Amino acid sequence: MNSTPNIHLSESGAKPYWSPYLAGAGLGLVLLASFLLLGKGLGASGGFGRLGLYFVSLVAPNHIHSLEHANELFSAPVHFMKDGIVFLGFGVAIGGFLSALAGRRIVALGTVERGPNATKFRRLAMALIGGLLMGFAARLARGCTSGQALSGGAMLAVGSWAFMICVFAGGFGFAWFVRRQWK
Amino acid sequence: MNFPLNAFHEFGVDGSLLISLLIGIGFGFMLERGGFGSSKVLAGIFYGRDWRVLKVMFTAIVVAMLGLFLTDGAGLLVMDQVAYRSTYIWSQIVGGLILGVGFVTAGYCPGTSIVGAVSGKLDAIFTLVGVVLGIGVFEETYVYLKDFYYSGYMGELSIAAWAGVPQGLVVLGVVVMALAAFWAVERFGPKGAFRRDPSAAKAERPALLKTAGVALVAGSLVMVVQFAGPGQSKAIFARGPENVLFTPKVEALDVAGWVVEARPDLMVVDVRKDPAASGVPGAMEVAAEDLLDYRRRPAFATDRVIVIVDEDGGEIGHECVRSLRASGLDVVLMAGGALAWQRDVLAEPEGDADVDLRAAALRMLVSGKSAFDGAAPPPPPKKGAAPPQRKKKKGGGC
Repeated sequence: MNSTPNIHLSESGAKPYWSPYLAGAGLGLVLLASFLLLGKGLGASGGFGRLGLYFVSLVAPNHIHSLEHANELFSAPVHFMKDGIVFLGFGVAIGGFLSALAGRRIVALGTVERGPNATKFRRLAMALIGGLLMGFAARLARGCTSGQALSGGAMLAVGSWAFMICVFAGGFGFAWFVRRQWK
Repeated sequence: MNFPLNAFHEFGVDGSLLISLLIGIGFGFMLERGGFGSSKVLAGIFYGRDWRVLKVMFTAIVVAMLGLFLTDGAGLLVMDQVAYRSTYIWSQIVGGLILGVGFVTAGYCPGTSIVGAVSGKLDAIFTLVGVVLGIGVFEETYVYLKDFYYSGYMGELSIAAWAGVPQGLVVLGVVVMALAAFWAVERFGPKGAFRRDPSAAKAERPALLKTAGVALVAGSLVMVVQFAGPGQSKAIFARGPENVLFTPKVEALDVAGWVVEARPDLMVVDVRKDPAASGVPGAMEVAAEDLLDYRRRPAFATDRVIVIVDEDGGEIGHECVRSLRASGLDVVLMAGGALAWQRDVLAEPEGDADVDLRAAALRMLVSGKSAFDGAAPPPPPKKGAAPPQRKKKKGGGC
């Protein structure tokens, strides 16, 4: 099914993506490897949290001690950056870069994907606000699309499926309000 | 060979970090191959433009699920050692809704924003920064969110246990559901292979049908292995919801009675971090993290009734009960934990309050004055278990 791929990007020279079913199967095997080797699924937002914690610890370590939830990580016997989830995040960056490089999909640094009539400012503001909401939500739900929907989903956990359904409900329900960045 | 490997083989810190890095590389590679380095592709699903997100995600879930439950059903995997996602239904529902709104607004989810960022996209970098800031907002406001964060706790609840149907059936059901969703988007979605107009990518049809056939056969195979295979977790996960949703409990006063009468099959396990003097006499002390570790847990006799005592009969106790029941042991949780023991049993009743005989007898037993002549001493503490080496079974923490 790789023979007639859909072409999504117009950047010159960019190779087409893999068939989504092939990429999905590859992703599933990576997730399975994580389950069988490390006894846990994949994740992303956990690494973000630790990275943020690292930056704050450079400027205001005492402030972290006053935060109940963050302090648990901060005061753990093993340094919070010495965790699989952080290295997983670095790995995602490396793997994503290698794939984009091989597929000639690296764009000029600073490229902003947006609709033909949308301003850069609108798109970047949306990206920042969306990120903010997701960071908050990922902490509240104890995981994001990788840790909850993908990993918990494959383990058939009730809460993870409820989470996944709600992500799609929230996305489809709100899509109309943020459509202009793609117009 | 037994899986997960990290439970049976010592990788060391550096080893497991290296494995995490390699898995991350594979993760990022596959995300980018699937088109997840582009916000246009990712957001496309919410406008019906592009169904890649659904196709990639559900294929990944199906493949990983089949592999997981195949190894589990074949008895090669100790499911108990795989970090399961506990259900906190309310925070997950609200978190999911907010994350969905954030996803469609940003055009990336947290993991894919890394892939977009290394592809050079500035909007992905903005999303990435936003996610870190958003986590900061949560940490700063945690005090106000704490109650909600822990609301709706249902334990490590699988769909099979919740619905009271066999695990294998759920696995096959998810395969069928995914195939139905794929068919729907290929039939009605843009450039779908099964569209009934000239835009149909007809050339893809044979490969898609073949893949669907393979998935159905694989799903059926996993179902059979789950039913008939030697896997351990089949039994627990396939039991009715009552065993998982409602942790079997026993009142502190009943436990006091059992201790006084020296019930021979009684085994009290204190899992508190710091089992103080106020614990149940004769209780065996095992730290919760050791108890939850398949390798470090003492070998319990299957003919005992094990009573788990934690601080307050809360989450830790529930986890311990669930974990031990998964090994086929008869385990109950002492309602209210050590707090209830202190309040209902050890504390002297004030004034003319009704004296519970069991509590009174227990207090006499503790103070050295036996209530009955010849009453047997409480069951001797049984110390077992290797010393803790490292904490196991922590959440993946997305």
